[in-house]
Order: sequence, then structure tokens, then C-alpha cells
Amino acid sequence: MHRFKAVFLGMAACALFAVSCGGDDPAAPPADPPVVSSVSATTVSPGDTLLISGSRFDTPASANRVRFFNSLAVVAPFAGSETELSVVVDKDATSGAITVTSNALSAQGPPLDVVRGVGDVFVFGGLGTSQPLVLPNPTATTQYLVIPHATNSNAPYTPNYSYGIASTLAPPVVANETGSGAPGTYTVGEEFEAWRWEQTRELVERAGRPTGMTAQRAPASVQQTRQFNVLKTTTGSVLETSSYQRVTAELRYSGTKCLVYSDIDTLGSGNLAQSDFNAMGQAFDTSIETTNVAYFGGYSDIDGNGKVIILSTPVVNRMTPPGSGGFIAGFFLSIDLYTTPSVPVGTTNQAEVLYLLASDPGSFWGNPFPVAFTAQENINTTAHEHEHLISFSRRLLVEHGPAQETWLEEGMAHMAERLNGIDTANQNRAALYLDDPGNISLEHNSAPLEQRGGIYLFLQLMADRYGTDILKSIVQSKCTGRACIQNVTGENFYDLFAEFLAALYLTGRGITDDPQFNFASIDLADFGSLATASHVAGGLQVTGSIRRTAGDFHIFSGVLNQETRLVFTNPGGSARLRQVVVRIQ
Amino acid sequence: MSRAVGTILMLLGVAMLYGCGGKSARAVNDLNGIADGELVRLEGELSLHGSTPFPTLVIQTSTATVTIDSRSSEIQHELKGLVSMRVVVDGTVVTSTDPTLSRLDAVAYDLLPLPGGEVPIVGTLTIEAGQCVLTAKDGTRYWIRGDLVGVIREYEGARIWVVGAPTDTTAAERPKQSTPFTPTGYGVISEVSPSAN
Repeated sequence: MHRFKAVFLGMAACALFAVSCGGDDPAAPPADPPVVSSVSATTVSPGDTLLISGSRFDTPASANRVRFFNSLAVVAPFAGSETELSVVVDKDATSGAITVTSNALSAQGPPLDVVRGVGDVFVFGGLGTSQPLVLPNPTATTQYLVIPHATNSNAPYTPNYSYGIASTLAPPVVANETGSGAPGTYTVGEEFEAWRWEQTRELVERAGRPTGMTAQRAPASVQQTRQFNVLKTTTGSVLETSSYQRVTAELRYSGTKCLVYSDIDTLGSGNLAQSDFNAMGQAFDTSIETTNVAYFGGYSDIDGNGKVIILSTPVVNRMTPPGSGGFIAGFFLSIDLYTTPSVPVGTTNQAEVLYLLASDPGSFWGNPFPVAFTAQENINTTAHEHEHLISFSRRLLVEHGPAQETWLEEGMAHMAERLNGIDTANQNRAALYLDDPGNISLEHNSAPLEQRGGIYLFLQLMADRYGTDILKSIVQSKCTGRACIQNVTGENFYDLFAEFLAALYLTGRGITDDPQFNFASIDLADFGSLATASHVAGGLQVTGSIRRTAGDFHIFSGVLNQETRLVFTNPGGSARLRQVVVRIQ
Repeated sequence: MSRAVGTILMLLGVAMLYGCGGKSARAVNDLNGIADGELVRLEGELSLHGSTPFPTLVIQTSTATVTIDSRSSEIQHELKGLVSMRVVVDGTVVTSTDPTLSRLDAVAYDLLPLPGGEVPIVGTLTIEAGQCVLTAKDGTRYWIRGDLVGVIREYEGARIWVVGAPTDTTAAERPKQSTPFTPTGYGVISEVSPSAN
């Protein structure tokens, strides 16, 4: 019977006996699976076209699925018939039997040898002895880089997930010869200023106009001395007045885009000098603000003064307990953009404020902060915190979305540092990340230093590959976390993460010139060395543990003309373990 | 030990440190239209939003992102230690004239199973004669073994959660009245358990 006629009769029968056409009729005979009789070649490379001959394939050809052994290497044929399928060998194909699935029934075909060159990156998803990864060793010095990484977005990112890699060596199995063979450009300037005013009006309409707003909006009313509510605790609620300290500050610099204030709680000596305040203000006026707006977009002007307030206060110094490993260099507090009565009096300053350190050479407020160091650190911190201001004001006041997830928000601020030419801190943090990349999740939402190093490198690679406009697209959206990365790149987050891991090893080594695996704007050698472990194939089983969105780096040396067979295990099963694999030598 | 017995032990070991289930709370997905002070229950994944050092703790339910701001600093601290975990949280609603600032004053929470169905066991970690022991709130003692013991033992005195499976062993060095247990995952809720102080 012709297929058309069968379909027509089937549809007619369904129309008459709709209730019985649910597909679960126990009386219906089981359909026959497809049959794979031969393939056009048994040695292939990714990108090759393979002709599969057999019978009972589904039509159209694209309704079938061909798996090239690796569970991640499943593709639809691009042409064919009930007896023949033409398919492109998937980029993640691995050696082993192919499987053809037609009408939900599968048939195994002959095994293929998948041949790859040095620098050819793929991702393998097989687990257990039934799904080994078979790698040829065509030279005496062949080496493979294997990066197990955890990709289960539903699993928590704080625990470590166990994995194992068993390796054996075996002579190659001869295959059975059954066959013959960018977003728009933003204009900084008047348009931006108009936008800021428009957004401020929108905010006032939404959150209510606070008492005294009109007076604050007059540019002439810049106060030489004014009071601020400064958050004094890292553990209390930002919505409780008791969490704040009221401080008085003097105006030390009045520029075109910022006002720099200094707390009047000063030391007998060792304070920032007027020249330091001038340098902070001028850096923001002439460079930082313009750079950040160009890359991340505009921001609010809730107090209508057209300027960001930069406040140096020892309240920031006191937030870091003496002797701590790191320190809080400053912050932006989103509550400052809300007006009363939405938030309690005594919390918000109803202005765009960046809070920075006061100098303290003698550790009077807890930790030593020499004058010159503090002056430079404050400029660096301004670039970072200003990005947070841009992000928060845009996302909440314009997009009406949630604040960004912290792991990505901090990564964006570290990109701001980089784009403002501030590299040292990023290099130090990235070195921490590269030292143990399996032990820190890129999505760790507490944003410890090593995570910041990792997410900075990830965003830098994304910006190199997709352009820096993706940064503005991330800010100017409602999406959060992984969804933002996927939105701006059009790629699956964990696919990008796998490519990122490969790039951490491959960049700058000359193994591949593929831009996916090479940083264009930085030399990763400046960021520390990547931790790798070396093994001889056939040796002891490798075990380890990794976190979600994290990966370990293993290098396996093979033996000439033997095959390296790797079997991966994930004892807990929660990690959704995958392996980036690339022949590096 | 049979797998069934092991599963029962795991279920018994689920501690509810600030367990939900006391005074009845109404299950909701968001705080829209809920009166100030009402006791509600939210289920979802904990996350942090915004910038450091003051990120906002939120629970992402199936339909909304809700801020959690517990008046109990201990509960707030522990919930921050559980970010990325799925939980149920009971709390009273604190409304605001700006609906985006409404929040939940959390008073209780429970951990939910991991996506693969693994039930977290919560307890306090001690080192006894060099062996790592997790004691759940119901008194069940787990002798922590396996690949992860090296990193877990660094959290002596902490309140942690583990997932994994009981292990068959006849090892003589087993701490008294303990069940050998091989974790496949863990997390630190609080570096130093209040009960350890």
C-alpha cells in the first residue's frame, strides 16, 4: 500500500472512531523497527556526509534520528527515503556503533571509526562501561585533554559531585566493512541625558514623589555639607533603619558628572588629600562614566541633579573585621533609588550614591589602608560599583524585572573594571580560579573571589566571540543568570561553558586557531596557570569531584597504535557529567 | 544492609532544623494581594540577586521571585548557605507600598530532595577518633566514608547536608552506633553549628 493511501485510511478511521485512536490499542501489532544494512564509509570525520542504507526509515528523512554513539551526537538526516538516509557526521560523533531511530524504534548500524585531528574539540556524554569513549593514538606522543564537568542546572552548585575515569589500552578494533566506503549602537550625550530624566520621571510616578524632591532637583542646590544614611552591617536588613549610620560629609569635588563627598569623621593625619578627591572625580567625569555608559547603557537620575554621588566614609572601612583575608572596597546600594514611603526614612538617600573607603594608614578603623593605595582603589571601585548602579536602575526601573543573579552581576562589574583598563584585581582573581577550576562553580551566587575570576574570564571570552554589545543586552533585559547568556549568544549555556573550559587550555597554545577557543583581547598567560593532572592511559583509575558548572582538567598520554578507552562514572548521578575532549598532541 | 533499610534510614535522617509543618501556612506562589502579617508557605529554589556585599536572598517559585528577609539572623544566614537548593519556606508577609519591596519574614524551612530524588540528610559534623561522623537531629549517626570525606572533614562542627547511600562494610574502626554512609554530594549550611557551641 502506498504510504499516502495508508495515511488517508488511517485518518478516516480516526475520524469515525476517534475514541479508540489514542495510540495505546493493545490489539495493534507492534511496528517493525528500521533496519540498517550498510553505510557508505566506516571511517569518517565530523562534517563528512554519510549514506545509510536499509529499510523502514521514516519519511521525510528529517523525521529520523541518527546517533553517532555519543549520546550528545544525535542529528537528523538532511535527505533520504524509506531505504536510504543522508546525514552529516555530527561534531560530537565518537567511535562506535551508529543508531538509527525511526518511528520511535531504533536499530543499531555498523561501528564507525571517527577520525579527528589535533585541536578538534568535542563533548562526550556517555557514562558507564556500555558507553566507553574510544580514542585512537596514531602517534607515539598522542595526548588527549579530558575535562569532566557538571551541567545539571537543577542540582545545587555548592556540593562537590564525584566522578571517575577508568582508562584502558587495547588494540584497535577493525570496523566491519559493510559499506563501500549586534544590537544597535548607543549614542552617549544628549540622548542619554534625556533618557536619564525620562526614567527618573517614571520612577517617581511608580514609587511616589518623596518630600523635598523638588528642592533636591535644583542643580543650584548642591550642598557643601550634607548627611547620608550609610549601611553599617553586612548581616542586617537593608530595610531596617537600625542597619544604617547617619554621617555628615563635606563636598570635596563638584564635576560635570559626579559630586565627591568625604565623611567629616577623619583622622588626625593620613586622610585622602584634596588632590586625591580631584583625581577620583576627574577619573569618573572624564573616563569611567563615559566608558560604562558606552558598554552597559544609561542609568537613572533619581535626585535629578545629573550627577552620581561618590562618598568616602570610614563606615565602609569598618565593615571588614580586622585581619580579614579580603576587604569590602565599596558598594552601591539599590535602596538609594527608592523613595519614601516605599522604604523607611533613614534608609534611602534618594540619590545615586557609590560608597567608598576612607584612607586609614594606622588601622584606626580596623584595617590598614594607606593613602595612595586607597586613592587608587577608590577609582577602581568606582568603575565596578557604577556598573551595579547602571544594571540595577535599568533592570528594575525601566525593564521592571528582577535584579540580576549575583554571580553574573559581579561578573559584569568585573568586566567594567577591565573595560576601564583596571586589570590587576581581575588577574589575581582569575589566578585563584585557574588554580582549582573544578572546585568553584561559575554560578556560585555568593561570588567568592575565585568565582569572580572565573565569571570574568567567561564573560571576556563571550565578549571576544560575540562582541561587547552583549554586555548592554544583558543589562537591558529582564532575564537573569544563564537565560541572559543564552539570550545574547543564541547558544545553550552549558555548550558555551564547555567551549569556555576548552579555551582555558587551548588559548594561545597554537593547537587551534578557532576563535571559539582563543581569547582575542587578553593573554591568559597573564592570569596565572591552569591546574592540570597528567596520566598515562591504562594506569590507575582517576577519581575526583567537581561542582556544577565547574570542570577538572586531565591529560591522558596514549600508546602508539593502541586505543585509549575511557569509561566515565558519576556515582551520585546528580551532576549530569559531560566531558570536553580534545586531542592536544 | 538492604537498599530498603538504607532508604528508610535516609528518610528518618532528614532533619527539620526550623521545620515547616507547625502552625498551618497557606501555600502560595507569590505575595501578590496577600495581607501584611499573613503566614504563607513558598516552595522553590533559593538564590541571591543583586550585588555584593548586600545581595538579596530570594526564592524563585514556579511563577515569581520573592525576597526573603528573616528577622531571625540565624535562619537568614542558614538560608543563604542553602542557595541553589530547593526548599519550602514558611514566613509572614511584610508588605510595602512598593510591591517590588514586599518580602517574606521566614520563620521555618525544610530542604527538599535533589532533582534526582536524593533526600538530603542534615546534621552536625564531628570527628571521633579520626573518623568523620554526621549526627542528624533525630540522633542517627552516619559514618562518612568515600571520596568526599577528605573535603567534608574540614567542616568539623558545621551543620551540613549530605546525599548519598549507606555502605556495606565490616570495617572494625566504625564509630559506635553509626551507619556507614558514602556521600555523593554535600553542602555547608552553617560553618559552626549553634548546637556545637
